[in-house]
Amino acid sequence: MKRKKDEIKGKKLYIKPKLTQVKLVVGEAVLGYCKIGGTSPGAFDICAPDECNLAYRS
Amino acid sequence: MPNSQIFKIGAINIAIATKSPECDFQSIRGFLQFRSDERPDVILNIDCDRMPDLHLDQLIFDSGTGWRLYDNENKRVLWLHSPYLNPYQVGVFAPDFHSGDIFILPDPSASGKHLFPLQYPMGELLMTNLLAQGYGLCMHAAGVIDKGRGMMFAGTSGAGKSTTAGLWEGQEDVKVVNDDRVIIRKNDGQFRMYGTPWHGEGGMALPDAAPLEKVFLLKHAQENYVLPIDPMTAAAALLVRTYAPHWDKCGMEFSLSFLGDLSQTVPCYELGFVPDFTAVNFVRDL
Repeated sequence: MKRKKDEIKGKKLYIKPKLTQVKLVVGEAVLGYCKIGGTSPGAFDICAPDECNLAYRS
Repeated sequence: MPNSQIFKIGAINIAIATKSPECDFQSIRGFLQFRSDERPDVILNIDCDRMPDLHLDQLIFDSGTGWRLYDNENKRVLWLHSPYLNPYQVGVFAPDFHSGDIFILPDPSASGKHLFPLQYPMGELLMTNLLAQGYGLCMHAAGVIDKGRGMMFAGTSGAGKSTTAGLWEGQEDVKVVNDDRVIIRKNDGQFRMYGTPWHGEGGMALPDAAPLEKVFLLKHAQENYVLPIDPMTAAAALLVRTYAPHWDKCGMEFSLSFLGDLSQTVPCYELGFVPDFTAVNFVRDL
């Protein structure tokens, strides 16, 4: 009964944040600069930029 | 003439230029110690009396929790909404997030004042996108500088970040730069840890920075213990303790590469701890 104990002490109860949800629709979902294609689950085709610049910036 | 202030977060200078006299910000106090007089790297124009006229038909990401990211004529649009006001803040940014316009409506629940644009969530979302351009990462972690040496205590919610920060706070030669979020960057071959204004329950937020010497993954335990973690395991564990741009392929590639580099360069440990001051001495004796 940890909840009751916290309430008695007057402490603010921890409220678990909602999880971030990713909503992708097969066939037309967009991921950043890239589109995800395909008509059935597992048939995704990621149209990504050829290369990403992974260099550090100061 | 716009009223302009610069805030330095993670060694990135962000200029906030308020164009309209209607801007009456709430909650700016926690940001004052992050003010800077250096040349800005990012310039944001703030408009407090209108919302932009946008046709948003290309959704990039829906958080499901109060914000969405759109593409609009090669601009990135952060759309912040609440059950009471949709939207209450809109940010229209250049694709590299180095410039943008932020439109803010007064918050009815805060006596009609305006939410400061660097507050959560706009400020953190801007920083998440910006850091992924090659600057670094924002981590879900408490940051402690002990005698000039940086230690990051990473953990998901409930892992003990605020508890750990509270144990270190007030110790001699110690600065707790944040109890919830720190920024990690790499400059001149060295990883550095920076405090952020976005604190947790403990309210600890300092602009200080230090070389990052150790990374701990927090775990509640019956006794204090430490286990070295191999780089691959550490990188995977750190990824879920990172504010990474899941909607940006190149940003994610950079973030994964960054975590791989970090975990191979800085010693990473699992830290089981009991919530008393023995944990502080235990870490200092490592």
